[in-house]
Amino acid sequence: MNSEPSFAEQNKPLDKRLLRYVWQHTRRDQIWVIFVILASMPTYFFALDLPKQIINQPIQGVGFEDATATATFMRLAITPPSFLSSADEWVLFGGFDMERLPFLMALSLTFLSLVCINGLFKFYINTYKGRLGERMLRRMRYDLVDRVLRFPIYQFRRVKASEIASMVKDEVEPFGEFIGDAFVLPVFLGGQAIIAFTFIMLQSFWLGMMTIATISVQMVLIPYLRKRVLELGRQRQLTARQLSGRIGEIVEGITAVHVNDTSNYERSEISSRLGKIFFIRFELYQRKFFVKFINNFLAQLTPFLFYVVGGYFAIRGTLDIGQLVAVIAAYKELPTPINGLIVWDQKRLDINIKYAQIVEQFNVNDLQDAEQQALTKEPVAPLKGEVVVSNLVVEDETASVLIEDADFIMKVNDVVAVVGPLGSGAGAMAETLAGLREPTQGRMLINGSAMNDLPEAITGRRLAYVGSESYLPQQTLLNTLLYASKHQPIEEKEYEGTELTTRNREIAEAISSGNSQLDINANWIDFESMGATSFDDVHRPIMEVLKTVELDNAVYELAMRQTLDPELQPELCEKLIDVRHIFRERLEGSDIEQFVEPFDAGAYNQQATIAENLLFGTAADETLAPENLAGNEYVQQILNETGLDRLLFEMGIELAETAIELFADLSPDNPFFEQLNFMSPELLEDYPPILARVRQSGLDGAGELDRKMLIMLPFSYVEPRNRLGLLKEEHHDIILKARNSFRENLPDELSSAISLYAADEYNDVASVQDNILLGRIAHGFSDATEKVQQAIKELLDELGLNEEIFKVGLSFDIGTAGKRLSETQRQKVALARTLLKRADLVIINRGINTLDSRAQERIVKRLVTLASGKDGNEPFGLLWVLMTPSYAREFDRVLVFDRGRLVEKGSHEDLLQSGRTYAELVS
Amino acid sequence: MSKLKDEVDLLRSIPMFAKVEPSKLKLLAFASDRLTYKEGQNVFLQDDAPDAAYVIIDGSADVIVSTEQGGESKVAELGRNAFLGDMAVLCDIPRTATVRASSTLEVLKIKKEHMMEMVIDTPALTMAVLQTLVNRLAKTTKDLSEAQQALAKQSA
Repeated sequence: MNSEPSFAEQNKPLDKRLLRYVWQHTRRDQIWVIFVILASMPTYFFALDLPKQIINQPIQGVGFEDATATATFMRLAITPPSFLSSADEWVLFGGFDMERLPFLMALSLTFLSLVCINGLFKFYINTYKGRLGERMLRRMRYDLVDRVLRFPIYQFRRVKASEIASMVKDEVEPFGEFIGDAFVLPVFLGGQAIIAFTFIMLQSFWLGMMTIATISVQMVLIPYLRKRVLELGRQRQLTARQLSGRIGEIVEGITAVHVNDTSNYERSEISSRLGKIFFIRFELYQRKFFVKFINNFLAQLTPFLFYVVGGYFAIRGTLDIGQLVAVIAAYKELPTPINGLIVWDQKRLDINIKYAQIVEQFNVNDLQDAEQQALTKEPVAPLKGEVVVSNLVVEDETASVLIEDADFIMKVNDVVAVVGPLGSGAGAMAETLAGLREPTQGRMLINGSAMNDLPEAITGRRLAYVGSESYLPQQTLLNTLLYASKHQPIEEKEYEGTELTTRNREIAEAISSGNSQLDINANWIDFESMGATSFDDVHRPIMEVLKTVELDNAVYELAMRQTLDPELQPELCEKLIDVRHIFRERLEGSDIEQFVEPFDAGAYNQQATIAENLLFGTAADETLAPENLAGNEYVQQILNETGLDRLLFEMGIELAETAIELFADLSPDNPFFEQLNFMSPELLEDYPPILARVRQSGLDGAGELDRKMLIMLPFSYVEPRNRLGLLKEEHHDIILKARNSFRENLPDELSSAISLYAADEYNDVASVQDNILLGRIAHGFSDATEKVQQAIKELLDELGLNEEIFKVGLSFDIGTAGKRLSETQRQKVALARTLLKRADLVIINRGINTLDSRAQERIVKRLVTLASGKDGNEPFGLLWVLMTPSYAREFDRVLVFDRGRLVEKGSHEDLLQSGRTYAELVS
Repeated sequence: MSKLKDEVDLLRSIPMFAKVEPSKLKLLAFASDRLTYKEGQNVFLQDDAPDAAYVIIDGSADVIVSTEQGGESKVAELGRNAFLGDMAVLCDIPRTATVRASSTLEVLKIKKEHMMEMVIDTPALTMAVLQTLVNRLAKTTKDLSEAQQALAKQSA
């Protein structure tokens, strides 16, 4: 069964009227709900009628005047129309004869069961309506995002990301509730109103006409008053959307706010927007409640007329009193459905406006044909032949010309450099070839077919493009690199048992909402396209590519900084403990021995802080961070018992004095503050008064807070680094005593706050490098860090662990927008991801311009060699828009752009002799 | 005695820092790294961008420039109290020579940004830097005119 919408359907613009859109997709469900509601009516009326019977008959005793009298229960009879039968009634079931008490029980139990049935009906109807609404909401959100995926690229230069997000997420939210009631409610309430109204008409024509008159006034006046309310509702939506757009901009541009001191400007701008929203909302409330007031007033006006006019008729004798009372009773029933209808209509208009607002944003021109993004499971044949660009003109949205009349032909696997300054058209050429810009005129063919009409399955797999800015969503480095290979599920996930049931339900629901049924948990990695033999083999081509873009060392360094969980990776952690032992053995007597001071349970580690020496472990969270240690009860107790508190207190005084002496006159942004490792700059000014107080009181008389503030300081002290001579040999023993005591009596509630050092255990809080070292790199030796890291790397290589370490590096989380990587690393990752696809033609638009020039040149040379197939690999096409024109000499051919025109083309040598612009650019 | 105090004394013995307040020198020493180099290890290389200036605490170092033939020639040897790399840092020009430890060498490494901050913040140091520069210029000018005279004599 394929219930995914057809391409033609996906290409149609969204219906501008919400009700039509809803009806289109939920017709059957809506009719079913109405049917169920109608089916629930009889029991509902029975349940209303039954109490009267119970009170009249068994309780008050009507029909039970005599002690042995019985009543008939559950007698079923219908009165046939007279033309069918002359009998009074047809008895379907004679019923039971019952005495008064059993009859009471029988009726009461019937009442109970009716209440249950009613409740279940209501439960079913509400759930059904809720589900209906939620499904529709899901469909709507999916449709909207589907459209975002097919927006023409230029649309994204107009709309803000956070506004789209706010539309898809927040603005459609109220629809869900309404959709369930969209058709049911008017039918239902309308029916009720018609019944009540017909009853009134039957009683008295004139009173009926009066009812019509007031309702008509309501129907005309209220919508009129509401016009402004609706307009305000529209404004409210727009201003709210703009607000989220602005907030998104502030967040993304937060650095500009800081470096320009514009935070107060932003505050004022946000305040003005919030003010606007407030006034809109306030006026909205005022008007809404005014409408409500008018509405209520009119509803109450009718009974007044009934009393006056009806009373007049009754007194005159033209209307009997019984009728008047019945009419008033019926009218009382009328306001509820009428008000309900008015509320429904109001909601409908409100939501229609909101809906139209959203649809307007998503029904853009030039929406990409859904068929171009069709899922293609077959392998896509490599591109062959030539790329032919003829009479190509490209303009941007403002109709300024980016490329004017360009003509060139290249073979798909040619190695071509494109040069020209920014704005020369070189970059636009690359973007147009990659399908990111539409040609305004002219043709762009690849192997005879127009490039713009090719499905994305071809352009996205056989062509590769990378610009200088790539957005990297937050995920692991591995998934970032593999992203470009996830075109379709390669291997479906097998489900069993309850998982299978859940999965089937998920699919069924996806179908009901017209969503994609592709399984996100399937394996999407197209390992073959990367040249890997299996899913587990993908790191091999990744490693190659990372070497090409010179990112392999960075990945290794990331691995060294990662933490590992021994429960998730027990084998690797065990191997790393072996590495630790071997490293320690080799360290002895080697020329780097003095660069590392290993942690030894029985010795003070000179290169580590006092806190680290005391804890002899890594703090897992803030509880045992240096600044919180002094306040921790257990630590305090240990310090007290060992007398370490006195030592630390005295050191704290000296450190505070030193810090004040050195830093008191400096402004807080002075670079010297970076060197102040034992105190945070903002606390500096708290210390002079503390010192004044404790000089008088000493440790024993010092206040709790003063004590804490001073003891806190030496925890970060490292003698070889700070060189203040505060920590002497004889102090080490006291700290070691405290260490032992801390470890022996560690309470359970603290055990999760620290991961203790142990020679044979992997520390799940410390980095891989710290785990291998289980020690500290010594201060005071030049290049110590580099040499030690080099030694670790060599050892890991030797033990054959480089591959596993590499995988650890790939599991690094790159942060939002890849911000945990440097800018150069992000460019390298984007380039690596592009190369990993092994496309037939790789288009690089500047690409690696933040790298230093030597690295750029190395990578250009390496890629040109690869593209030409000189290393025995499969050759591929390369079209590179170069930042530095001189690298063009490496390429077979050069295209030179200047002011939107393709001015020169040919080989580097020819152009040097004959080309004027090129010669100028290269010199 | 703390090492930091020794370092402050050492700094004060350098002419350029002679007039700078002791507390400023202590800050400079506090912010600097004390590093040990093995014999033969390079402190910095000719043509590198400067990142720090160095004061020799103990040991000795050779100043080496590369010759046009691609070889090396030792132009000076520096010992205790020598201040090296200061001009490259202050003027932000590439290193004019390579400095290599000729014994076990202990130095105080003063980072460029700290050096600059100190010069900007301390008028006495600014004057001292200016004087040092003028003195060197005068010496270089004198050397140059002597060399020119020698050259003139030769050709004559």
